Amino acid sequence: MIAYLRQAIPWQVPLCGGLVTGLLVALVAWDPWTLWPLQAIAVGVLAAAAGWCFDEPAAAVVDVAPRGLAWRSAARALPVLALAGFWCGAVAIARQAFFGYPWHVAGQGVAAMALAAVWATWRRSAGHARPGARLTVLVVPACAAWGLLRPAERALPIFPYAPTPGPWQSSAILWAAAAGVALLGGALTLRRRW
Amino acid sequence: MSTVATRPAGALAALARTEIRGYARSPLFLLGAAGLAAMAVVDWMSTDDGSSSTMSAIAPAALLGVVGMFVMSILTVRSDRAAAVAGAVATDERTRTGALAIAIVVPATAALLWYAQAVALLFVRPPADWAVPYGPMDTTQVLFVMAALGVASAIGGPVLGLLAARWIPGRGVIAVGAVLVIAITIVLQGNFSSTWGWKAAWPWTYWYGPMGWRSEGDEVHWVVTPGTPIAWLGYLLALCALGVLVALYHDRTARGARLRGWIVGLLVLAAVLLALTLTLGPSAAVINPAVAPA
Repeated sequence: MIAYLRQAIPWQVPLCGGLVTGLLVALVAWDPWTLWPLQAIAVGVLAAAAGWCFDEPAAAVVDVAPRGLAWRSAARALPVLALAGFWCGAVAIARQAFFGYPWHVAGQGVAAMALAAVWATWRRSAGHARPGARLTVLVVPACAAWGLLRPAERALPIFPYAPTPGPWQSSAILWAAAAGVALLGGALTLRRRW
Repeated sequence: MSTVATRPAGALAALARTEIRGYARSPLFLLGAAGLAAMAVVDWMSTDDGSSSTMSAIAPAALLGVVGMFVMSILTVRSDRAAAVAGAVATDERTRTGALAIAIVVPATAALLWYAQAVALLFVRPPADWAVPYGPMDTTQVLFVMAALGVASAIGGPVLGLLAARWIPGRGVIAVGAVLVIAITIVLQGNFSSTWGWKAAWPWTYWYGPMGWRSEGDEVHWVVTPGTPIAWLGYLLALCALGVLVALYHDRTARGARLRGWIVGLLVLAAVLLALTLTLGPSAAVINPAVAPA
């Protein structure tokens, strides 16, 4: 697996994702009241980087090789786990900036990565070679627009702002449900392909 | 996207039509435009907070400008792939870049529609005394600010996408670029009073609003920042035109003295317009004494 990890994983993607999210967390920590939209963008970048780790440009070759999608996906999940660890560490270090809800913010990033990883694996199982790249062009602008505009702040608090408990609790439920869907979807996808 | 092997003028028109269709049918653009329309409807239906449409330009900037960076990047990659597949008979890069630049008419039209309804809302439901127009920021200047932040950004985003796709090709470049542009924009949008004298050099910044630092319980006052947005709109449009020319310049066969002359001319024009932006109008921030709601 080490040889596979060294050769098949696009390491520049989780590295770049970590660098960008680290920069965004540092900026939010500097002035959370003003720079809060960057928190939503950081979640989008994490999802994009996670999805991208599952891209297999040589899909036509590797899909017919003896190593199954489940094995390859498990190997490709390792850099995603490393990125999730980095994200949680960065949020923990800057925890004073997150209006008293640092673990809610950390959970958003982890759930977004899980969703992206499962979606990319599901698309890979359908034969698409680069689902992560396609996901990037959707999830980054979507999170950026949502973070900047904060539409339906009360009805759909995906990225809550300011220390008001109600939206944070609703948001935690939304993200936990998303993570649950991701786990279930991942299990079903890989069960078919093991 | 398809490539056409015809005479250059005919090729440009044919390609432009194709790219316009491609842009207008792009799911990302359609999603952004639908979101913008929904937000405009909400603005008209909801109770006004007193600012009318003076602060709503963030919507087209995000939903047409930021999204446009991605749409244009995708269209450019698709155009290049089609040209590579077509081989030696394909239309040259300059023509394809020109066609892609013409396709920006799509987000520009959407932004103009947004602008028309925002101006209508401004007159139907005038802003409160604590907002703008106030002092040096009269109604004409407010309209210029709304055009610059809403319409020019909807044009500038795709231009930036075209520029990045031409000069820094690579997967993920546009995502990282968009994130950096947004991060810098949020820092320079006007919340730091130390930037008020020069922040207009950046292509997206507020000219008025409840800006600056406050402690909890302090009164909220709207501020008009220094400079003139009238020259600023010209500066932004000059930057957009410059971006298109620099994208065209990527094609080695297009690098003639004429194109270089236009680029230098636009650079000078942009510099002059920026100087006018920063030097005309009030030299210091003007604070509206009426108290705005917190």
